[in-house]
Amino acid sequence: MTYTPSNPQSGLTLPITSSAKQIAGQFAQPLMGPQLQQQVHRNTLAMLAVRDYLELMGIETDLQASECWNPLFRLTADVSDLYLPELGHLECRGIQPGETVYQLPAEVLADRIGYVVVEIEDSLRQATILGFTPTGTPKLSIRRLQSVEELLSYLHKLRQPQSVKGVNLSQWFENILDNGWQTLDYFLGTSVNLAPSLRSYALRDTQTSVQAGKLINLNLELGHRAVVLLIALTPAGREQVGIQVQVHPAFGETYLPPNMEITVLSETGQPLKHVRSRSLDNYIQLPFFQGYPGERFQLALSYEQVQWTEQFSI
Amino acid sequence: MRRDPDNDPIYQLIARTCQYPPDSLERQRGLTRVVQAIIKSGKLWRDSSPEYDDALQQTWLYLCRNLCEATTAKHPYDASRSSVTTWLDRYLKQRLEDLRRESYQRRATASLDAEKAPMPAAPSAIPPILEEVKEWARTDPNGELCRTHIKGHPEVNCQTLILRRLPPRSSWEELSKEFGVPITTLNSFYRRQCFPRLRKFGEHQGYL
Repeated sequence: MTYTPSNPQSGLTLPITSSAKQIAGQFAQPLMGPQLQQQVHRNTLAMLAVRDYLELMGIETDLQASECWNPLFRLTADVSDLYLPELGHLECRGIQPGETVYQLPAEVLADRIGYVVVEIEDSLRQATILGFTPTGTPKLSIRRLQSVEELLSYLHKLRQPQSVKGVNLSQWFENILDNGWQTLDYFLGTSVNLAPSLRSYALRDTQTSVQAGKLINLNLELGHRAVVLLIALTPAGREQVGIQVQVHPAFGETYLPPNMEITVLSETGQPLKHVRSRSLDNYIQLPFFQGYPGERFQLALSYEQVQWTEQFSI
Repeated sequence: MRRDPDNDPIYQLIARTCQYPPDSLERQRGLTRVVQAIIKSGKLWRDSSPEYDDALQQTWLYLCRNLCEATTAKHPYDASRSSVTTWLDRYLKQRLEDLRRESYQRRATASLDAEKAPMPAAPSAIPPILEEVKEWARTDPNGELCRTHIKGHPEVNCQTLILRRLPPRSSWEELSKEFGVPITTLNSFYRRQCFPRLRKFGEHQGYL
């Protein structure tokens, strides 16, 4: 559950079966050109290794409903997903031993519940599931992946009904982050490429506050928009916790798009306060608010009729 | 064979794992650790036969299905009777034997067939599916592919994108530069507008 980078030893090595080799051979066609053909071959072996692992764990998968199972999608798009009924598409990518960064293609940055990276042994006999990340970035750092066991707990969390889901903010004080929330160090060290606004914000780190951010992809009618939601918690006397919420652009953008709105809502969904971006806003922030441990609230981020919400408990 | 299960870390791991109900997160974590521990111990039977990888995967499945409760076996693993690797080795060697027999029989049948049947035709260099998709996208029978385009960019439509993404594939970066449309916009449009049409065509042609 902690966010410390996974130990490379925590990978799980499984044999590559003859049927996996056969399917990978069918998917990787010479007409793709040698480089893409090899990559598709590795990705398919990776996807089937993850399928084999989830089968061992008794977690249901549906190959037929996976995008990569569709030969027409495969012909025109770089997809290597495994569909988990009721949960969504889990992208599985194969790397060669020793690779440290993996370039995710643009078409899989949206519509995925997570990304699993699998090392394919050169002899094509063994596949090692190295880890996963719930959020896709164009460049995945292998070192920063979360462990296989964290994948299991992530899938369990996804399966929980919405009402008990939610981010437990008090755990942040114990350095426990989950649900895709990451330390600011994580963002500053990756290709999410935070805007200068957040870089300078992060530098103003105080001794007492705890900060974490989450990369949010809003899937719009046309294109998606990635921003970073940032929360800073400060103990505020009498057990109260002060909460500051900001939205920053990601991937090198300087400004937020205009008319993006962040709202804090009550536990039951009653809007309490909101802030909307104007043109050329580097970031937006909600008025500072406080709460007692055990209290719950929701945050909603909306832009062009697309809304993202998450539940929090203090 | 004399063993002391209480001092065997794998045995303790198994005992802990089996305390949790099937399909619980703790059970799944425990099973993962048991597999990792067995691999790390290096005690499981290994050989270099071509059937080994399939037999090993079946053995892991046997382990996960029968370690705590018997799901596919008659009895679950019994630590008082054997070590877990001995228990698995027995299954693994049995599977190896089965798979070897099967592949021997397959080869025997295949060589008989080869004597009778003429040489199969060499696979065509370009699979028919590619040609069919190309033809469909190019002719665009009801004009739908051409009509479906990114707002304000009639030239960036499903016909163009499908044709450009078929091998030899143009990268999204190239297409983005050429049309002056952000990659994310191209991708979202492709996924939401072109994928469903490709799927429909595929179903119609019986590929799916």
